[in-house]
Amino acid sequence: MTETIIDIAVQLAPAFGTTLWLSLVSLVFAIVLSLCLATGLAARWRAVAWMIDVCINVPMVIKLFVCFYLIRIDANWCAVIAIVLHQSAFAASILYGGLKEVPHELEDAALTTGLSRTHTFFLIRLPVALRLVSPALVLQAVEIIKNSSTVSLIGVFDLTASVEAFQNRTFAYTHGFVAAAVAYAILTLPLMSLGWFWERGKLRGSPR
Amino acid sequence: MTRPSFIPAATIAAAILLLAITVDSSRWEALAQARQFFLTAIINTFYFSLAGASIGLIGGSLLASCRLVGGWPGTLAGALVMLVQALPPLLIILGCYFALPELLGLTVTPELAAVIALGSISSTYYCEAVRGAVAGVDPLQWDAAITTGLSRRASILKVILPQALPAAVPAIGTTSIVVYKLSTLLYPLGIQDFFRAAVLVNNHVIDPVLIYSLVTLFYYTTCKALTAAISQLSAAYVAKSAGQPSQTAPLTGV
Repeated sequence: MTETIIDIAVQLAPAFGTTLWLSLVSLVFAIVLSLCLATGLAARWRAVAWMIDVCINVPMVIKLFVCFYLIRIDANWCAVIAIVLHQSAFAASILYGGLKEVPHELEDAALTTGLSRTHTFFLIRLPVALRLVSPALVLQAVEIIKNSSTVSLIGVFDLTASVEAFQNRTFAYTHGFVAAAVAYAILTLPLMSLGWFWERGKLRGSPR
Repeated sequence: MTRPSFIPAATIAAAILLLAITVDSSRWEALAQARQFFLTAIINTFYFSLAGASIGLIGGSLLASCRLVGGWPGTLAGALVMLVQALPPLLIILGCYFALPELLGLTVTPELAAVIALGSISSTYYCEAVRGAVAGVDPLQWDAAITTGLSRRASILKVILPQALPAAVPAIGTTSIVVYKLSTLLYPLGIQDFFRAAVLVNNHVIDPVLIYSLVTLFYYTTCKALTAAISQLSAAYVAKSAGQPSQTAPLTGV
C-alpha cells in the first residue's frame, strides 16, 4: 500500500509542479488584469464591458482552443492567456460589484478634503471595495486552480493529464483518481476555507 | 436592475456580418456538408445539459434538505458539497467514466458517466443556491413560526420554503447556465456535443479560424439567450416573493 502511494506521488510530483506554476502565474496576471478591468468598468468604458461580457459567456475550453489554434504559441502560455482572460473577467465583475457597494459619502468626503478624482478612486474607493469582496476573490483563486485542469486538453502535462497517463499505464483507475483528488484538494481546500472563514469573520465583525 | 443593453445584439450582428464578408463560399460549402452532424451535436448538447440540470436539481434539493435538517445528514451533505467543489469539473467527469466502473463493478457508458458527472457537480451548486435563499429569509420569520407553536418541520415547509424558493430562482437559473457551459467539458468522453463536433469537423476540413469563430459565436449567443430567458423568469418570481431581495448569482464559471 505504502509502495503504491509513494509510486503515485513520484509520478504526480512534476505535474503537481506544473499545475502550481500555471495557477501562480495565472493568479499574478489575473490580479493585475482584473484590477485594470474593474477600473475600466468603473470608468464606464464600453470596450471593457464588452470584453468582460464576451469572456464570461464563452466557456473556458473554447477560449483555450481558440488561443491554441489561432494564436499558435507555446501551449503553456496559451493556457495562461485563457485562464487569465476567463478568471479576470469574473473577478473584475465581482470587484465592480464591490465598487458599487462603497457608500457615496466616503467618496464625497474624500473629494471635499481636496483629493483628486483619481486619488479618491485608488486610495479610497478601491481599497474599501477590495475589503468588501476579498472572500469572493479568494474563491476566484480556487477557480483558477480548478479551471487549470482543462489545459490538459491542449496537451499541457498538468495533474489531470499525468493522472490519465498513470491510469493508462497501470489501469489503476480508482487509485489515480483518488491521488489526483487529494493533490487538488491540497491546493484548493486551504484557500476555500480561508475564503469561508474570512466571509464569516466579516459578517460577525460588521455591525449589520 | 440591469438595463437592456444593445451590446450583445450588436456583437452578434457584427460577428455574423464579419464572417459573411470575409469568408468565401467554398469554405461555407465545406462546412455545409457537415450540417446534419452539427445539428445532432447541438441536440446532444442541449440533451446533456438538460439531463445534468434535472439530476442536479433533484440532487441539490436533497443535499439542501439534508443541510436544513442538520445533525449527521447535514454534516455529510456539507462535506460532500465541499469535496465536489474542491475538485476540478474535468477531473470529476473523467473520474465518473474511469473510476466509477471499478468502484461499482458495472459498465458505465460515456453517456451515463456524463450525466452522473454533470448532475453531481451541478447538485452542489444548486444546493448552495437553495441554502443561500433560505439563509436570506428574515430570521424573525423563524422566531414567529416557532412562537405560533408550529413544529420545526412545519415552519420550514409552511413558512420558510414558500418565501425562500422564489428568491432562489435567479441563482438556480445562473447555475443552469453553468451546467450548459460544463457540457463543453464532456469533450474527452467522446460525446458528440457541439464543441467536440466542431473540433472533429475542423480536423477534417482544417479551417480553424472559421470554425472556432463559429463555435465562440454559438456559445456566446446561446448563453446570452439563456441569460435573457432566465432573467425574465426570475423577475416574475422575485416579484412574487413579497419583496425578498434576490440572491446574488454565484459567480463561478467554466
